[in-house]
Amino acid sequence: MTSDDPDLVGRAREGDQVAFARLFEQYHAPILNYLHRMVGDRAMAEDLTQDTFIKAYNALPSTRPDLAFKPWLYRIATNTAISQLRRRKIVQWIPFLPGHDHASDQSVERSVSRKQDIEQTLSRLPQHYAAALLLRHYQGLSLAETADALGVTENAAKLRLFRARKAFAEVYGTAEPLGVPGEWEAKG
Amino acid sequence: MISHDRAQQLISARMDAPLISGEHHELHGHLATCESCRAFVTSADDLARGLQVLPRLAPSPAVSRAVMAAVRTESSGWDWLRQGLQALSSPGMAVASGLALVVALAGAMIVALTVPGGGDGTGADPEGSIAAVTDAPLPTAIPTEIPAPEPTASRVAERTISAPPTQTPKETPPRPTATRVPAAAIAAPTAVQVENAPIEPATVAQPLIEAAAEQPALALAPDDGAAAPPADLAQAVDEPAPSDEVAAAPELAPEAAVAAEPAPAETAPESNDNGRRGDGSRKNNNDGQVAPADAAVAPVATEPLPVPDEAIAALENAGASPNDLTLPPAPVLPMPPSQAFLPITPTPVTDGTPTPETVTQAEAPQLADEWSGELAVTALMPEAPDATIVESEEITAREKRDKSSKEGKSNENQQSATNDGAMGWSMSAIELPQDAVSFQTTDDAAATVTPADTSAVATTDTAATDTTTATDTTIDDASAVDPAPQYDPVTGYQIDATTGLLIDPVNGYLLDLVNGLVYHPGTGYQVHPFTGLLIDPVTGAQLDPVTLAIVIPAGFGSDQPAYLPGDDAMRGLIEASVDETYDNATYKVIPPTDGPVQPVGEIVVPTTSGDALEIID
Repeated sequence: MTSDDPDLVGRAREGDQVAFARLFEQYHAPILNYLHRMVGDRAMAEDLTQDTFIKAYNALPSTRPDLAFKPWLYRIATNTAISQLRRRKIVQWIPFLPGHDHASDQSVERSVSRKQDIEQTLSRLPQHYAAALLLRHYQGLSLAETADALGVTENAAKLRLFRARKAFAEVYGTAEPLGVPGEWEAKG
Repeated sequence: MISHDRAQQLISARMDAPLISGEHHELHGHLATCESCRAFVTSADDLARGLQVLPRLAPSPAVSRAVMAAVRTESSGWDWLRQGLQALSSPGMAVASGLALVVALAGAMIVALTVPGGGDGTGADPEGSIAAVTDAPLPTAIPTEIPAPEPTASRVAERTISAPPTQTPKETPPRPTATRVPAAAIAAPTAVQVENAPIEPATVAQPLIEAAAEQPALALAPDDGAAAPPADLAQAVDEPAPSDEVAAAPELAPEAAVAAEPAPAETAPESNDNGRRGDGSRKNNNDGQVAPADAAVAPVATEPLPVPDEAIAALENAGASPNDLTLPPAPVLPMPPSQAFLPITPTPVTDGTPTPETVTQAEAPQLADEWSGELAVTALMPEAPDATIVESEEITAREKRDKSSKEGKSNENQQSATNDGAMGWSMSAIELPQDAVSFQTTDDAAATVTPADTSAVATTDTAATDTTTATDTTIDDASAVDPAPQYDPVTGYQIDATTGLLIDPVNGYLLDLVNGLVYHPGTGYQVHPFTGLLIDPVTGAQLDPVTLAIVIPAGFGSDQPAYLPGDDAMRGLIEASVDETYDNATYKVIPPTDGPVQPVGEIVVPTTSGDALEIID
């Protein structure tokens, strides 16, 4: 949280649209990216980002003056994302788009970067684990902020992070690297 | 020596906070001898570093516009009403209301004691009662004890709309207003002046508490003051009320009074309204600065605050609350008849691969022979085209496909066939045994996808492993009858006689090196370059190469394009739900509704255990 936050939050709580706009500018991209990693779909992440800020705007007047805005906003985003993930309908199939030649990108096909492995592994984790890891490492929240954003105590957040890292390590260590069909089959 | 679990807890904890010295030594001692925990360290560090460097999206202008538009809408719509209700429920206002109630009750008692016939229920002359009340001494200390004013402007507007202005019992003096104070008690020269003149801002901004103290009679409105809600009394104490029109026409409807109000925005007090204007809109800190310099000079009118136009408009448009920002889901677009498709189950596209015409009904359907029993899954059942069934457009498409096939445009053919719906194959539901319900997991499937196994499931690895054996009734047997197999001089791979594609010697897949595509020989489906699964050209679903079961790709949850109803590139829908613990997911495959499709059934898969699906129904 920047030094401007308390003042901005206070003014936004009193209905200052300019102050809220400043807060929105400050947290728009982080929240969007966080939600993007949570739901894995940019369009959906944008929708959820919009929902998050509108919810925050509506709820601000009823918050306490000592509100920690940043973790509070992330908590709204997390709850919004998880609620959406519970009821969303998505297509999980990689489309076969005409004119889009998947196999032409040989570099992608043959060498899977660590980044992709991490993204993929993260996508396989339960959402509450992924949320904890993303808040802590991707968004750079402190342990206290992460706990606040998750709505749990610091000890509970520490335990959740431990379990999330363990789950990540298990999936990460055993994940099937994405490769060409021949490689995929050869694993059998 | 600490346990693995303890060591891993420390490994995790050190990423959140420094370890104490003892823990540090314990962990190092353990790591020196434990390879698995060292691997955990590596994994955790990879995770932390990897997440930090993941690409980030730029802010979305569309989101910015939408949010700020929503904020503006929220402010100008019903927000003022909500804030007014919040103000009513505030503790300060509750105290003020209670005090006002005490004042009203005390006044009523005084009236009952001092006015002849008052309170006897005989319906004595109300005018006389009012006059008596206005002459009676009143507890002047009461108004000054009212606590600091709470945000009331929005509440005033609300009350103004819902209640007639005659309910304001206080501010007696200077002007005869809807309180129907006797003329003798009024004696206010401003009343006449204001009647036809615009309101002076200074008059509006007068501190009401002072006025109330000077004119304590305002707390006693014999006719209707006692019936007025205490909250109104308390509110009226701190609300300025520039009412000129009401003074001239006490029975004027609130709406009319509002319409006649010259400048409501300027009359809003700068009191402690908690940042809200009288219309409830959120204000900037820079506006609405009206100095109450002449407050003590100018008497205060008793009419309620004017209602802003937007508030009136909001009420008039009630039922279309701006809070409802959720758009209804987009309707599913109907599929054009020309794009009608076959069931969701695998529908082979044979362009670029051995065509159905080369396979007879008895030759191909090994899968169908193996799968029988009760299951709502249709399986591959190739059959020869029936001229009596195939539509004319399918014939046209097939001709187009054959023509393209001759030109070697395998990929284009596949797409063309998909788009035109000219499969040349048809699907029929078969009865599958119950034990076939449980399909392999991805890992299991991967473990079984070997050249030897694929040969047992209607695929043709024989071309790669034993091209001289033509006993299998597979599609590639068409190439086996070729007396002289051709080989690519560059790669050394055998060339499939039917398609002209190379045959991968490892797995028998057909390689289209020109387009960089790989095809499954048994089905003709393209092999997904990332997952190794087969792509159903009709539904877009990815299928296990052995069981042909629909498989959730490994990239579940990753960045996938949105589903486009009616888009041939993506057909079908998976409805996902997760249980409360997020440990298990249930996927319900929903085929498109615009074609002759067969339901696949409900699928349950543990979220963390793999990708393959188990069809339970």
